[in-house]
Amino acid sequence: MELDDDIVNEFVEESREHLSGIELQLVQIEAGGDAIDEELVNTVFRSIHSIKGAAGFLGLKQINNLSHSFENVLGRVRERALIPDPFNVNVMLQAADQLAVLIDCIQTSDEDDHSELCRALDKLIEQENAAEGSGEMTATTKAPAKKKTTRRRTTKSSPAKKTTSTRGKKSTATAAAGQATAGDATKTEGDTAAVKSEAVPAKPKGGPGLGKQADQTIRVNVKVLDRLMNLAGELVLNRNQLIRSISQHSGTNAFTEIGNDLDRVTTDIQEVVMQTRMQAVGQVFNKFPRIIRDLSSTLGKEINLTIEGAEVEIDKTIVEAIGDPLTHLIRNCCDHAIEVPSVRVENGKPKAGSVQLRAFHQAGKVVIEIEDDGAGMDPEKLKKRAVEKGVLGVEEAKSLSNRDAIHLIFAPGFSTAETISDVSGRGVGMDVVRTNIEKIGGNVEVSSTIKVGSLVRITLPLTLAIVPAMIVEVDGNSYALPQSSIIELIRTDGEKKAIENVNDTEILRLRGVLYPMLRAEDFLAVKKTSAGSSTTAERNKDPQIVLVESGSQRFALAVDRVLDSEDIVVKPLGRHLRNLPLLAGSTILGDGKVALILDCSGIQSLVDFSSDAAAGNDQKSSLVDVNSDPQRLVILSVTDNDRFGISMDIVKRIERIELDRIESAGNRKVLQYRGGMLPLIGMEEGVEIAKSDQLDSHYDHNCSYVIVFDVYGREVGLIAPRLHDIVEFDFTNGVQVGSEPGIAGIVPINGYSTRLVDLYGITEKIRPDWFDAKKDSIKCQALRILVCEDSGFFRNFLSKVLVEQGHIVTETVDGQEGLEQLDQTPTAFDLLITDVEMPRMSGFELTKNLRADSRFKDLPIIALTSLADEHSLSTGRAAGVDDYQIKMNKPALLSSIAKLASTKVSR
Amino acid sequence: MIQTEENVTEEKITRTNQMVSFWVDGLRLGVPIAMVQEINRLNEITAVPGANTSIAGVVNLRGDVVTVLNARAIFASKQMHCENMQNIILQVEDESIGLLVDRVDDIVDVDTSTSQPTPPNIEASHRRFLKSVNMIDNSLILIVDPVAMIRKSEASTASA
Repeated sequence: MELDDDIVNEFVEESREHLSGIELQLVQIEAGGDAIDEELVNTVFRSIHSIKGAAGFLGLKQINNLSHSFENVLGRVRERALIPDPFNVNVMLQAADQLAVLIDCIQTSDEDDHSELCRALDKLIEQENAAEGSGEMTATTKAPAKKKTTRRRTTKSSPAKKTTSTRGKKSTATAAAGQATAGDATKTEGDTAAVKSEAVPAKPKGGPGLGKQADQTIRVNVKVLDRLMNLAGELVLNRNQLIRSISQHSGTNAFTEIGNDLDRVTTDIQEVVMQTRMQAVGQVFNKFPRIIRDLSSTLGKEINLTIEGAEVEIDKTIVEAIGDPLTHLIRNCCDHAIEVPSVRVENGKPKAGSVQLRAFHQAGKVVIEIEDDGAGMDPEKLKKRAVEKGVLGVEEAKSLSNRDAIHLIFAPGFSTAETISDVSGRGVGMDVVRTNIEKIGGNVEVSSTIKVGSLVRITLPLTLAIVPAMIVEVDGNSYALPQSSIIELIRTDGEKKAIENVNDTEILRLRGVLYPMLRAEDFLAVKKTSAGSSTTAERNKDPQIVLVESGSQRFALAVDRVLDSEDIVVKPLGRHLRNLPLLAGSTILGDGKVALILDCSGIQSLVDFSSDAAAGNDQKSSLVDVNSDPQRLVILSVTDNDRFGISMDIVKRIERIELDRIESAGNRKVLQYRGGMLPLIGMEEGVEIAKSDQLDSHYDHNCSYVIVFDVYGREVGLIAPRLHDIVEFDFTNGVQVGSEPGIAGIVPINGYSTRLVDLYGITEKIRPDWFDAKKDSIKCQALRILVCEDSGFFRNFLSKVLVEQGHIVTETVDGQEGLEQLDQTPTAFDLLITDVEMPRMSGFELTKNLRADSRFKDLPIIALTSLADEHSLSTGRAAGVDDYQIKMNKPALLSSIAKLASTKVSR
Repeated sequence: MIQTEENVTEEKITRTNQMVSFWVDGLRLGVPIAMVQEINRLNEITAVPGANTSIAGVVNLRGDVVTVLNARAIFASKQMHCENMQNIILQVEDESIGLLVDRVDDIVDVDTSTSQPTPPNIEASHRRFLKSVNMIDNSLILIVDPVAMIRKSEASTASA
């Protein structure tokens, strides 16, 4: 039979749409068991019914037969005559798969015989009939089964005859769905497939996609959308050019107004066109329940999958690109991470493992997280394996932090499974996952705790076609640097130069961290072909520095000037230029000139960073004395005549902002920040500030820094108009204890008397309400606390904080003295707070000694440190420390004490 | 030599052809008019760091980014630039590619039956993308095979 192409294509597309959601729905039906969700079953039923009808019309016998048998089975499920169980749902899933295959090669669909599957489906009904006949029906199926005969007839009496009738059916069905959700129980007339909607109370979670069907949609060829996208891109460029020339010619008001209108409309068009390309990540997510279901039975594991945020939308190209990486990650979870039930029970976990898949928006990007409660990854094992595989040297492996060790899984040629299994050993490694994700401008991170589970976090851009970028100038040419790779812009003018030379390599020193620096002019040198002057490499003495990130490597990029930030439309380069590693494409700027887009990963590969980083580390470690624990302080000032120091350990981030972004609500200041509000406090609100009328010439009056820190889990910003430096300061001597509230002490730093800020003290003084609400969480009975701390300053500070809370404090100056004190009066203390780095006996040694002594087995121990890195954390835990706290983080310390005290009581 | 014979037979089939003739450092060259999309003054060109020397850069052609080759670089001239260069936009294998030349001359009819194989004294590296030599009004014109020429620059880019 010769088939009309248009009609067939329409049928294929429509059927695919029907089948796309079916897997998920069937798995949900299975999960529901005998609590049948009729609306859900109806949805599947209608889908298959439509396919059957159209296939019958087109004379596609195999599809028609298969969907007919399938429909019958679904009919029985709907009537509650057949209870979904893994066995029969398996057959149904097979049928859905087979239908998809047949529809994919529609022209040859009648060549093979699929009656076996039909028989399998029919058999499901026969079995059930037999059961009924012999009167062995279970109680749950009995009652609804009475309706069976009538229902069967109705469904059978509606073989759709034409495509038009299928169409009609679909629209009525959608209407019914819409009404059902709206809680309207009107009967839908003339449509047999939707008869039962009135009997079902509307369930919002009934069938995903059901509500969506009610939307008015038309099908548009993707090519048309791509073209539209390109045209919108053109429009954006033309708009940019027009706006620029209007502003140059300072035209009449009317002109400017038209320009503004055009600007607004263009922005809207761009947005809407982007929306047309947006698709829900659910498209990808929906295939996972089936994968998990199949994998669990293959692997003999029990795995529950929870999906959140399936409705989050991203650009079509990105949705398509993340399918494979995500599948790989999910398979990995099931195969490697989740343990077999017996092991799980042994480890005190629930028998069924859980995998959580989440998508959500964050800071203009989409984040996808995959979290499991499986075995987690063992950094030591990973290191060992990396050494075996030759990915890493023995020495390198030793110095690797746990976080870096876990990221080894992304190294090419690295597979952690003991044996390559059928499930995840498919020749694609995690390196491919990472490459594919980075190719679309995303990045992937992993964190893992042994025996607790792992979390994979993928960050993706919303779209690829239009990206926000920073336009920079190098050697007279403009280049675009995608914002996604920019961490921050650094101004060095006016401040003491932070660029240092180590072995002919330039290194940027920023807030105590060293970054390798590259000068863009060095690698972006364009051969001067014109007769013009050949500028010899006269180094730019005052470059602008952009801190960029590629993979997990950060480096500083020096450019001549930072011009502007702009939304750029990415244009591919021609075939001559496609393989240049430094370039990611091109774009057309507002002035009509082409600017090249820099590729940070290409730039990064120019330099062997590992040696630079090592050089930097050497330099740093030479500064650190073994037994002292210097604190890193950020030095800031509000006017010219004052200096304040804040411990870097409690600082989360430092941001540079324009002053006009600060908004006032009442007498309180807030900053619109990362999609939320960041409350701000000013130093002058808490402490007295020396007045100064002398203006600092280096100070940018439009910008300020904001120091972001946490107060009971909420982010707060401290306004720091000027930031000077980050210094390391040893507190073992020379601290004068402060008398002002909010000031912990006064120290001389670089010739200035610097007030050490008790950040939490000052915050509490300014905004007591934030602390009042949390009073309960830190409230506990008076405890007898032993403090071990070598620095007099911190010892005093701690005592003050603890005494304020009503505790009784005994001070000792090192581990040795602490141990002696405890040994003499073993029952005199309820809790020990100890510094880590101390002379004679360190905090860890002290802890080890105490834990070895049966008298102190249960003594709660909190270690205080400024070095909250993974390594010392795990060493501390191994030694027997109950909790870790950062010095000067008062709220966290107090809640930790309260928590430990309450658990001790419950013991 | 085998190659030149092939060229001759090919030319005989095509017969008369319209060519766009242009000058590059004293050489008169021609490309088939069917492959020429348009001729532009050279608007602002953006140099591409790391690209092959025969690539002059990229330009904005009504919203498309087009790679521009420098004919003087391809023909190994000593001077890479001269004043008022013109940009011939060619359509080669579905891509617009610019060719930067000294001056576009005219559209000429070339009787391909009078074509001569490229003389052996022309540099071997150039011979690969020159199809033939013709006489027009008592002057010589070298017919360029744009596809071969563009592939050549591409190959050298890849190896660079």
